[in-house]
Amino acid sequence: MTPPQTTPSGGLIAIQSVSKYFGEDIALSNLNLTINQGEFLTILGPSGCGKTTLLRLLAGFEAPSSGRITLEGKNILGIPPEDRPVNTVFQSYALFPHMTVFENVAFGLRMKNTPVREIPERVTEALRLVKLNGFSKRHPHELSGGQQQRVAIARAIVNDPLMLLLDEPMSALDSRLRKNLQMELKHLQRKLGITFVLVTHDQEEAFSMSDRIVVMDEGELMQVGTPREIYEEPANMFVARFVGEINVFSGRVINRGQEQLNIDVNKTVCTVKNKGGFEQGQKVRILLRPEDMRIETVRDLDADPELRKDFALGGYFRGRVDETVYKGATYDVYTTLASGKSLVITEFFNEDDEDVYFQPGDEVAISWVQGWEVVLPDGE
Amino acid sequence: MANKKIFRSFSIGLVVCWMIAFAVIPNILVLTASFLSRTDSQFLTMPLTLDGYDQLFTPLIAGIVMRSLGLACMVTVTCLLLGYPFAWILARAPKKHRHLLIVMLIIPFWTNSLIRTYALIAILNTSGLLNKALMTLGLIETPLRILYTKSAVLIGLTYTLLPFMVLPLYAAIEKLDPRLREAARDLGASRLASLLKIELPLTQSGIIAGSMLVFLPALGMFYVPDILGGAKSVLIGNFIRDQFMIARNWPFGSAASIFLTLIMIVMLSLYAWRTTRTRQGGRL
Repeated sequence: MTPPQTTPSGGLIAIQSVSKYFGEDIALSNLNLTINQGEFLTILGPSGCGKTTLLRLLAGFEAPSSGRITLEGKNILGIPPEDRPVNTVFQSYALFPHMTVFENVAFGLRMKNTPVREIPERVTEALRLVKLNGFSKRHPHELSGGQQQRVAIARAIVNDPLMLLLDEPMSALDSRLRKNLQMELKHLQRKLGITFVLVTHDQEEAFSMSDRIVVMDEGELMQVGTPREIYEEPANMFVARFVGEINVFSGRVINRGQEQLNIDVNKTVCTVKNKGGFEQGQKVRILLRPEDMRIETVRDLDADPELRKDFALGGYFRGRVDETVYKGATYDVYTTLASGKSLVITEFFNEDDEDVYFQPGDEVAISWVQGWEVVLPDGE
Repeated sequence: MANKKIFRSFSIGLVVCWMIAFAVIPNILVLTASFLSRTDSQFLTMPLTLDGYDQLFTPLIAGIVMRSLGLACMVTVTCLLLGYPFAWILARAPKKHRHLLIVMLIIPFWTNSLIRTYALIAILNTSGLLNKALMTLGLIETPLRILYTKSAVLIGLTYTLLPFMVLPLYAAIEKLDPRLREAARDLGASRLASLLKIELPLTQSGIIAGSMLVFLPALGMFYVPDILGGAKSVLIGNFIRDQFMIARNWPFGSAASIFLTLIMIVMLSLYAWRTTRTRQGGRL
């Protein structure tokens, strides 16, 4: 199905030990990253983490304070933005208000002295790709936000760039429009085979579109990986907390077996998979996504010895339900443990039972699907 | 409710009265005067005549008008060339300095411009500050003769009128989204191409407004050429003044004054036509 050129192959861009200072402020610190040919890479992070600065370095609007950036092996520092085979879709679109849609899209071609005969055809093709044929005579202010966004994309891709940079391109759109555009953007990227680098603070956007995600905080790379790796195997507490919801248990390794670790969490012994790298007596954190948790009422647990055995295998906690929140396909159960710790557990609706099973005040036992936990050293 | 209505009619009425007393009536008086004749004993008298206008269409007056228009054009272009970068720097200065810079631009207004024009004499004199500075720097050997030349008039008018160019330009440039420039560069435009294709067209309203505010006063400002240009080259403003004060030919002076007003009306109409057209053209 997928055209051959979209297979990520080799580094298109190499960012080597790049730092950027604004006066005293560190925007990027010693960054290393390779961007592959044809991939959809998302830079995800909270505002002020340096993600937009990184994009501006790639576009050529800023120069790094130190380090190197190469494109296809050639150093591109010192090359002004107009001479880089890279185009940007700006957050506010930055369409030229005095030009029609056609003139906006044709601008890049005219600047590159494209033969006049080719221009109408290429502009029409670009507008067709973003589904805006028939709008070429309008001015930007006569278009809706979503349409302006499409013009901005057409204006960039018409130049056949090696890489397209997108700076929070959907932050100004409503959520429904955003979902549609996310899918379209992803399909467009597959079709064109151009490397897309998208900056966003919206994890859902990052997950639904990207081949790889770069999570950043305070100018540093926190983790680079596929959406699945980022979500299921967060490398550190920042990534775990920034991406999705997570429950955290602090504990200490009490003994270490070949296959398993026994961890004392507030006098409850939890058994987790030993993936190596932990010492006896070391302080650790167990991370669990709400949907990886299991919850049963104490009543059911007492009535069913099989279930009790299953729960006892990895260890479980006792608590009380505070409230349940309906989420459509799922519902969230907010609970407080005997230790006072709050947890959130996501349950799917049972096919036989359409009602929310858990009621506020229910005594519950909470465990998790064995092996789905992530254990990180507790450094703080 | 009634109070509001009274206040509204009162304030509008006040403005209307003001305009009638100080703009409409004087202009009607000048218009009337331009059709009257004069005798040795009386400034204005009957019968009605077109003599005032007749005298306008002579090579002498045509020369004065052309010279005045030419000078006003030169002043406008000079102000634009100096003012555009000036306004650009002002609009892109850090926010905390910007207000201070604008105050510094406006401070000279607090001194009467007649006095400032006299002060220019002290600078442009053969033994003035400019010549002394240039000679100390070794750039020239003998003092330049600037004062009482056309250059002095150009310098004086440019100096007096520059803020009128800078302020509308500043307003237009400040509104310009800096990302448009980045977008243009990103799409392959050089700095110059971006200036020509993006910034200049988008600040056009400021350029036109600034040019009007410089060009029209430059036509009529008679005291600057008087003080700095000597009496050598008569401009339209001086000419009108002379008809009233020296030649005592009020009908002729009035006719010339009406003629100047007509030139300005034509230019203002062009400006109004141009701005409504661009607004319809979809400027944001």
